[in-house]
Amino acid sequence: MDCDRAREAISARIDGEDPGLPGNVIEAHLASCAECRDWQQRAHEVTRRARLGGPFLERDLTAQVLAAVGPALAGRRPAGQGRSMVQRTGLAAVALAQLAITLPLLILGHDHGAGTHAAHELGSFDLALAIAFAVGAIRPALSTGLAWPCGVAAAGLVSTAIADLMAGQTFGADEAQHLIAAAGAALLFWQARTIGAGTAGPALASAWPGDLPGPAPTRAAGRAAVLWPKARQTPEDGGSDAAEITGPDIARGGGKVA
Amino acid sequence: MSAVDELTRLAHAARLGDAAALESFVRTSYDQVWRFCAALAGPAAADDLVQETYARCVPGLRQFRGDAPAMTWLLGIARHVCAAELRSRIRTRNTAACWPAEPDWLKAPDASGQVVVGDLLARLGPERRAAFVLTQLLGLRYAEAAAVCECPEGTIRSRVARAREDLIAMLPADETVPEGRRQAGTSLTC
Repeated sequence: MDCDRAREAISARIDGEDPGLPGNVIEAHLASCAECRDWQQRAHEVTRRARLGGPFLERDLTAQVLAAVGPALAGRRPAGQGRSMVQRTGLAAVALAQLAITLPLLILGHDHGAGTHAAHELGSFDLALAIAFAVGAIRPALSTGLAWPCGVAAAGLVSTAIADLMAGQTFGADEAQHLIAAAGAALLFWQARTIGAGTAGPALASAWPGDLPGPAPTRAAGRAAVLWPKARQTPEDGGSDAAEITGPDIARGGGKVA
Repeated sequence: MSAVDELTRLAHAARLGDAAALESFVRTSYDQVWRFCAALAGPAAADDLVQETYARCVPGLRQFRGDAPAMTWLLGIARHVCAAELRSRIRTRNTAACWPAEPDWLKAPDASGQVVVGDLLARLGPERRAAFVLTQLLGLRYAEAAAVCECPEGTIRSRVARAREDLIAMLPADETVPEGRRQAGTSLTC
């Protein structure tokens, strides 16, 4: 038997786990292999000393953690969750409506007096908006980035529609569809604001490891003020908890307690 | 593992809005989560990473169904938080932040005056380090460590053995085998 397998079994046996090999097989190998006998001795010693070592907690920041996360579960969370559901459902509905407008343009190439190619281009533009609203519904954390481009597009659609209506070039019924884009952009702005305001981020609602959002939400300005070393730079932000920290500051960025 | 069961009970109570249970949940688990983060990403970053771990876990308590022990669930989140941190360091090439130049605990000798093995953990690969820290420093069973690392139990067994192999290679031979214990033997008292 090769030594690698034997050592894996020896290692598991040190931990009182299933070695994956029968005991007599391990013993037979140890009896015949001086190197593995030596390895076993060293493994014991290394384990003993590793258990003594390692980083130990120097300062207990439990209070600070509780101050930061407590309200998320206790008070604000239900309201935040309800609001988040309204925003996401709204965005999903707007995305569907926008998609419904888009399909005739893209597939049939038909838009009032416009030519087929112009209709295709308009359809692509409308499809981009529909996808942006859908993304906002699925990943609320991204709405911060989506809100501005969609807002500018919606503002352009609505203002040109009003201008053309006043000039008598279009009919109100035709232009009403742009209100969908305006509603979607408004929802995105609202959602971006809610996330930035530091209430429990909807993107974090599902915290099972496999479903974690990337680092982006943690960089959101509002949450950062509550959770990151900035809170220590300005004790008033963290209340009495931040003021309790008196030891040397070992946080990244060297944020010192004032 | 009554501590784990107690923590799971607290997680359930906190989930239903019991503020005192939430506080106990954080206090009971804080040390373990901190040591895990410190071993994975360095003690200097650990405070922030632990806070981030709880920031992700506490809102998620509402989804916690208790089909895994709460500690496993919590350490799984911590592992993801630390992995994201390490990835961002690689992106920004901020390797200096990984480990402080000369932290005190690196130098601290144990009772017998030998350099402790803890400092060598930093030199293990991240997967082996996670498996070793979970099973040796935090005292998790292989099955629990496998749940935290989202891998099969046999993988943990293999990683722990490789980690031991690496640590043995790092330590000078005269330090790994104390005098009087050199004779061949299969004693398993550890």
